[in-house]
Amino acid sequence: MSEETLIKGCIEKNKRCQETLYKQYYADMLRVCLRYAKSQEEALDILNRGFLKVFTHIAAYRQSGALGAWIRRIMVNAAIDFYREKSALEKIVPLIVTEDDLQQVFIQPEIYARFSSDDILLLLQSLPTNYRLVFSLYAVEGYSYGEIANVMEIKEATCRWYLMEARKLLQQRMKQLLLLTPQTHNYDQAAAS
Amino acid sequence: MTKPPLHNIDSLFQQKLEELSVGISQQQAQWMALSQAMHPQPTGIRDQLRKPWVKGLYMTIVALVPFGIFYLSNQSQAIESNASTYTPGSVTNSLKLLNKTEPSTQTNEVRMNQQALTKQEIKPASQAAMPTAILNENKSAAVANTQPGKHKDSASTAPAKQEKQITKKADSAYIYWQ
Repeated sequence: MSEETLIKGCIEKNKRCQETLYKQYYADMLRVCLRYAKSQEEALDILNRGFLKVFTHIAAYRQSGALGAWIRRIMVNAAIDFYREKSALEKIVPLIVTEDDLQQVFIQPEIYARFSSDDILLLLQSLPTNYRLVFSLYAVEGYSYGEIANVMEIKEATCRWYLMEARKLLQQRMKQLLLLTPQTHNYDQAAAS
Repeated sequence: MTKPPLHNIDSLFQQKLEELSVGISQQQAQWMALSQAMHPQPTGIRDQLRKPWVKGLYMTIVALVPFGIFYLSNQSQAIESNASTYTPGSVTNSLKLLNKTEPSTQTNEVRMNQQALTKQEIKPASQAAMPTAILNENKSAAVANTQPGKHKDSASTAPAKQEKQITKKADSAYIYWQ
């Protein structure tokens, strides 16, 4: 089934077309939702909310960009709305953040190799909600400070502060994890190569 | 020897998260939940009525209701000829109903019954005073007076003198009754 036929069927609320679209983008969108959610259950909840919005507003999709990118944007907004409804987005007055504070944290390759995708996900999910959202939007999705401020309805300064704090926390927890866990097989292989 | 490039934390997370493997074991369950939300199925009585056998049973009951009402209404109008259910007016009512349904054949019978009714009403009061032997003789004499020459029984022809006396008595008694 072509994408045009699929979209047309979804606009006509054809159940079969909706199911095909859902299953086609399920894995990718779940991966997106896991970055913003605190747990697997929350990620699945956000996923279905996002797809409900997709099927409701599919008629508004303009074929200027890829369908996947459009659905992804809806998923991100669904995640932010999810936490806004839960009143989990705390509004705090940040300290003044300088460019030095926002310097990138660099990691050695051997340390980089020791972390699997699941470890990285767990580290991300351990962050407070605001830190996690801002970090995911900036670092993973590639949103600018202005775009993040607009989506989350916060000031740009607040956005920068959240990003700084998120990087600090992640670095601390990665160090703790390295100290606590023994050297893994992956690390030995990476070190040998 | 070139040093391997350092990875910043942002790119580390981006790369690792893109490589994250996601299980699809819950895909079908998730789709069913979403489908139910988008296309809700009716529940309760409506859901039951969707089943063909329930629908058939419901239509049968609806079709039989008028017949049931008709049957019950006819039952209440039925004639009650049971002796235990006798009431002074019930026989008359039944006779009236019979008159309505079969007027041509029942007129004589009605008159005879009415006469029998009137005689029955008078009889109990007078019968209490008269002995039963005389009553029986009076009955046979009354029959002979009403139908003269039609039939000659031994009972009516043999005791002629007694009959005369009885008839006289019967006549006087009959007149008295009248």
